[in-house]
Amino acid sequence: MRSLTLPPRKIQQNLHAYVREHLPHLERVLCTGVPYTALAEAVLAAGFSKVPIRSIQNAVYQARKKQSTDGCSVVSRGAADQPQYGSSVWRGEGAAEAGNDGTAGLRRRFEELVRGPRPGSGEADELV
Amino acid sequence: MSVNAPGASGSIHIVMQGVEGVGTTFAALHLAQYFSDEGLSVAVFDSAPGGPGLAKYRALQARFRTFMVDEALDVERFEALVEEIREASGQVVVLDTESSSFFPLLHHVSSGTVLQDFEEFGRCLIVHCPLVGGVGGRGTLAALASAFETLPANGFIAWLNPVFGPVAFDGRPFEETKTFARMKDKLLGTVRLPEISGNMVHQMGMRQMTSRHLTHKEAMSVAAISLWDRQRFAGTRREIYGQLLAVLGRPGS
Repeated sequence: MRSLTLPPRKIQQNLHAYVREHLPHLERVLCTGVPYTALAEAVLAAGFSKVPIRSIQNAVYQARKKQSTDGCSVVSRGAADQPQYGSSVWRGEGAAEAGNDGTAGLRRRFEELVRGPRPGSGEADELV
Repeated sequence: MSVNAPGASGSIHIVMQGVEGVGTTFAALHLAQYFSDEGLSVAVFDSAPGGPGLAKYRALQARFRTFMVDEALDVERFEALVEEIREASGQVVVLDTESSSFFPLLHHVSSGTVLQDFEEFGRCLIVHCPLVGGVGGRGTLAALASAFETLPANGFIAWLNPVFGPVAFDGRPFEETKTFARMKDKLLGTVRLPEISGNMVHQMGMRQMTSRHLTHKEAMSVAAISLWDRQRFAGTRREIYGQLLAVLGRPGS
C-alpha cells in the first residue's frame, strides 16, 4: 500500500483551515486519483484525530468554493508545483511511477498536461 | 457493423473524471433520469470504490459494482461488470465511476478488447466528463484530454459545472481551448449545469433532494419539499434535459 504524506497540522488548526491552506497540494493529490480514504489516513498522520471521509470531502468542497469566491478562479500551476512538497504527490516516488499496474504512462501524461509548460521553456500549452 | 445512436437503447454511457468531487455522480444521476423519463429502460451501475453513491437512489435501481481493490482494477470484477453491460443490450447503460478508478479504467479498457466487443455488437460508447473552474479546473480538463487521447470512444460529452466559479481555463472558456479544438470531431456537445451557487435557497433545496437521495420525479411528490423548491427543480431538470436532447438526439431514435 502506498503512503501519502501531508504537511503537519499547525497548533490548534482546524480541518477546514488546514484544507484551505494546503488546497493546491490536495488538488494535485486528488488529480492523480488518490482516494479520500488515503487522504483520511494522511490527515490522521498529519496530526488530526480520526476524521470521517465525509468531513474531508466537505472541507475540500468548502475550500474550493472559498477559492472561487476569493477570485483565485484559475488553477495556479505555480502553486501546484510548490517546492516545499517536492514534485511528487506520493512521498518517495513520483505519482507517475506510483502506478505499477500499467497506468504509469497515463499518469505521467496527465501530470504533464496539468503542469503545463514550464515558465520560460517556450513550450506551447497543449491543454489550453 | 454500425453502432447504435448515442441516445438509443444499447448505448453505453460512462461518466468519468480524474479529479474527485467535481460532479461526476451528479451528471450520472441526471443522465440516468433523463433516459428513464424519456421512456427508455436504463441499467445504472455505480462503481464508486468509496461506497455507494448513485446506488442510494432507490428509484434508479442502480447496481453497486465496484471493481477497484487496493487501488488497482480487479480484472475479475471488472469482467463481471462488462458481462452485465453486454447483457443489458436492450437498455441504455449508465456507469458512474470515481476518480480513483480513472487511470486503471482508461488503461484496462484501452488495452483490452472490451471496446472491440462493444463495437461488434453495435454498442455505442459515450464518455461523459465533468469540467469545473476554480483551483482544480485544469486537472479536470487534463482528465478529459487524457480520456480523449486514450479511449477510442464513439463520442465525448463535457459537463460544464460552475459550482466552483466560471468554467474557464487560464481565462478561456472551454470552447476556446486547444483541448476543445483537438477533440471537436468526437465531442458530441456540452451540457452546462445551471448556476445555482449564487442562490442559497436553490442550493439548500437541491441539497434536500440529494441528501434524501430523491430523483426529480420523487421530489415532486414529497410534501415536505416546498412548492417553490419543486418549481426550481423542474427548471433545473428542464434546462439539463433540453441540452441532453440537443446533444444526444431524441432517445430511441
